[in-house]
Amino acid sequence: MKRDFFLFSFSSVLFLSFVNIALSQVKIDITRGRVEPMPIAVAQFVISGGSDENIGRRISSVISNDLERSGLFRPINENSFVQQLYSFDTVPRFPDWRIINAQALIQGEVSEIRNGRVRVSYRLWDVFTGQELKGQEFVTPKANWRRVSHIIADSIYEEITGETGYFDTRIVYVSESGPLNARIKRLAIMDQDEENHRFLTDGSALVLTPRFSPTTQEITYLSFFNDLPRVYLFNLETGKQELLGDFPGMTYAPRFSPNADKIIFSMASNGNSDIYQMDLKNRRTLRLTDHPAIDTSPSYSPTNREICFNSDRGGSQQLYVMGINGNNVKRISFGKGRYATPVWSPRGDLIAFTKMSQGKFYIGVMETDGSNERLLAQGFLVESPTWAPNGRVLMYFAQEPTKSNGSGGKTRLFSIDLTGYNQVERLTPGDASDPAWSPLIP
Amino acid sequence: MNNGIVLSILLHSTFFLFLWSGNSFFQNNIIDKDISIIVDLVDIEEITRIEEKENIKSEEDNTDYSSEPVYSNLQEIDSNNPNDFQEDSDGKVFFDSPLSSHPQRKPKPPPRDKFAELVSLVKNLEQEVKKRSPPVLKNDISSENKNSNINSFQDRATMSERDAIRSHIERCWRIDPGKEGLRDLRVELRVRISPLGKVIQATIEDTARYFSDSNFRTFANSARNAVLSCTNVPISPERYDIFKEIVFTFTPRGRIN
Repeated sequence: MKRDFFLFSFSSVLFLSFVNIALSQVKIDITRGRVEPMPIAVAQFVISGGSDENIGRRISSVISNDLERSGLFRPINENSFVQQLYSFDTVPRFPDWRIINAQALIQGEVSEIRNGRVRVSYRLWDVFTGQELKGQEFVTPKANWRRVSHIIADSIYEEITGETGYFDTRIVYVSESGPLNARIKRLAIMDQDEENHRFLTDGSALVLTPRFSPTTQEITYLSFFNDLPRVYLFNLETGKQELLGDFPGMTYAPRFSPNADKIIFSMASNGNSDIYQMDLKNRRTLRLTDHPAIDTSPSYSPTNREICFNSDRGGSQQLYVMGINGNNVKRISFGKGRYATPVWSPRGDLIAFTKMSQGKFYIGVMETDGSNERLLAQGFLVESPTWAPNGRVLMYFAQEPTKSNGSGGKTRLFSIDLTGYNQVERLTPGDASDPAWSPLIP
Repeated sequence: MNNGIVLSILLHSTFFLFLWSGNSFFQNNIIDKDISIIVDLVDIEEITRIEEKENIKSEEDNTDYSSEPVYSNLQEIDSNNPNDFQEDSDGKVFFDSPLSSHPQRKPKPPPRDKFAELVSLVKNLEQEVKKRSPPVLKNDISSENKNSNINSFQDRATMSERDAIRSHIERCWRIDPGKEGLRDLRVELRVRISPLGKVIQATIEDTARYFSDSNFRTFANSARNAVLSCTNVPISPERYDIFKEIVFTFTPRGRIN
């Protein structure tokens, strides 16, 4: 009994003492910060084993450009480096990097091995703690150096931001040329950093709305081949094109499901447009909407449980969400103007859209229940948003107004961070519209 | 039944013993009501210090008073005890305190009219303080308790001190407003600071989540880097004991600059 009393009183005193210590501690809440890119030092990759000297500089340059273009990093000018890292085994003198305000440091090495292959190694350092955050090594054909650079940039991006990168990706878009009344439109593809550009179709048939598969290197798009507007599939690895199906009406606005086993699209038949879904394994079609209004631009949620689309069933063009089988249709957009081309974010938390209001076009995002609408970009004609695979960046096209003398009307691609910062033009050889972002290349 | 009574008595005894031992938190209410007294006396002290400096200059006294901490002996000031205010022969007023480093003054000629004005001012302020202070509280608090209250007050960070540190750290924190799940992220850092305001150590409290949740880890790293890159944290060396260790909670619910 005495022991119980002792234990009880002792624990009481101990508890109260802890409470006292906790409450006497100075505690300060930090609730605000600065929106500013992180200063990062990307040292030139050193060369060993007789490899081409330029390759080290090129790799570090691609990594640096990828990180800078994301808007989240500010690569520090190499001329301001206090320490030069001449060897991959040199441990950085961190105070020297702190002086130039670097928060992270990348050092790397390229070494030539046999049969035209190189080994690319890198280390990512936390300058404040002096810890190595990540280190990796890749063996690849020398010609593949650019892709390895993107993969390294993705890896660094993920380690520092906690989100998957999007640098090792491609953009497919509609390349436009010729006069406005006889426009030639063909499919083109390029890396997300505008390199390795090439055309996929010859321009003999008008093409529209290309969409990347979220899991494979496959594209679905609308082609007017033989003057019949229909949905096609294009396999980038084999180059094979395939008609999705022979339907009684015009099919358009296709998009893959999250695991790429289905395609959802619109079909206009008997003066009405509804949404259909096709299973790619057995090619069976399922009608999802049946309404006298125009239902189009469907997009799956990443969970594959819901579909957003636009419809004028309420009297004006607005955004709606329905279940995967077409049930529980509910309107989510209630702002002024018309809404179109909804695209569900790969993160699942936002829906991007095009908005038309008072003669202006906007690219915006809203939460999946329609709340917290934010407009990110505005212009004479801005349209067709597409998400980067990590759901962080949007790409869209913008067209300038055509002047009375026929000049202007240029169509270009832009990317913008979902916060509305960091709007960047994506350079293409000619006019470009309808971009679609690929998943990370496998 | 008896055991329960005994346990209850024991718990209550422990609680009151704890209160009696001068726990600062449980005396907060009393302290807060007494704050106005202290603030007024600080003004008086400042006045006297200015006067003191002027007189020291005029006497060409070599003693260096400028290095004295301004509020070093606040706890010895009792507005009800006239013995705590002493005047020396040249009319200067100072607080007699065991902690005070004032040297004893030499006998000087009779006081000047300026001092009479000062004494009058002090008396007026004393009267005002008495008017403001709730009489019930004053009667309830023994002088010993009052001293401990003042000690407790001095041991606490003031709002302005907290604000200065907060805005200093906020300027160093790079925040990514597009980060996934940002509104639900929150990290606590235990930070040790040197007397000169340099951050010596910053420890992330939730290590389990740090190693299991990459999104939290990158958020915590950004908070830690903010603290480590922030030099010259604005703390007064005299109050170093209060601020030598601070727990910062980073939670981006406020406006982003």
